[in-house]
Amino acid sequence: MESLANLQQNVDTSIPAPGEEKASLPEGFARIYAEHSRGVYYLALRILGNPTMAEDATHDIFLKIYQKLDQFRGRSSFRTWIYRITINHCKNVQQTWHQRKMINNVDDAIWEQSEGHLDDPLRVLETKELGQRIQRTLDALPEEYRLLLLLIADEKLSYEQIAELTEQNVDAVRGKLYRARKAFHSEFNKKES
Amino acid sequence: MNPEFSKNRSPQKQNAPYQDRASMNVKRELNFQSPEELIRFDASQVTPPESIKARLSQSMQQQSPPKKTSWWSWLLFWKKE
Repeated sequence: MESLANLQQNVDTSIPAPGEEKASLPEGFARIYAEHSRGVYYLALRILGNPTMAEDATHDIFLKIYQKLDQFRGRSSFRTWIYRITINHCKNVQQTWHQRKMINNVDDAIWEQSEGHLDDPLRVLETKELGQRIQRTLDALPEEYRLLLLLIADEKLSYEQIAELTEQNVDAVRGKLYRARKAFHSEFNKKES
Repeated sequence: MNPEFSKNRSPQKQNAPYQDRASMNVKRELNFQSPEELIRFDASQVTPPESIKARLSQSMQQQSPPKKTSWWSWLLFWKKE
């Protein structure tokens, strides 16, 4: 991967001229977006449980990343830094959402937005149902377990990085992950009424 | 594991603790050994909407560009990933 330093130095801050038909991101930042948007969006989606909120959150998160690029000091990995912004942003969104007492009525139709491009309709249905089931399972878990499972599923994060993101030591992460996996298993395999 | 689906499974398939019930109706089955494997598969099927990129581009036009860090300042702190 091109060094972050080069990206910080060479982020093309020229913005496409107004009226340009195709919206595009500055070149250096476009690479950051291409590499991390999928992980950020998925994490936001499963934390917030709503594709529309996840879309808004992803937009806001990358805007923050763009604004704070100069603040990244390299003390953690870049991905860890991005995920910290993501987790903090999602927590703020949840807090605001609960404060406003909004009811999260997930319309089945909006889940279709988040699916990848799948040609087979049956495969699309399977994926949608699996995604919903995973979401219900995660929603039933304590927030800490949910976050740990989402982070450990990201193969680019080490235990040390997860410990850093969740502000605990590696042994604590391992122990809680064991319990989180058991809780997920139990919840996922509950007979659906 | 849902018992009503366990009868038709081969012993090998029964070892997988996560069966997607939706997929039981088709030939291809999804077998996962752990929650993270299941979540990883789910994540691979999800892509961010293209509209995020378009919105982001528009929003960034209204922002001042980030300050360019002096090369030497990051050099002190940069850790290789």
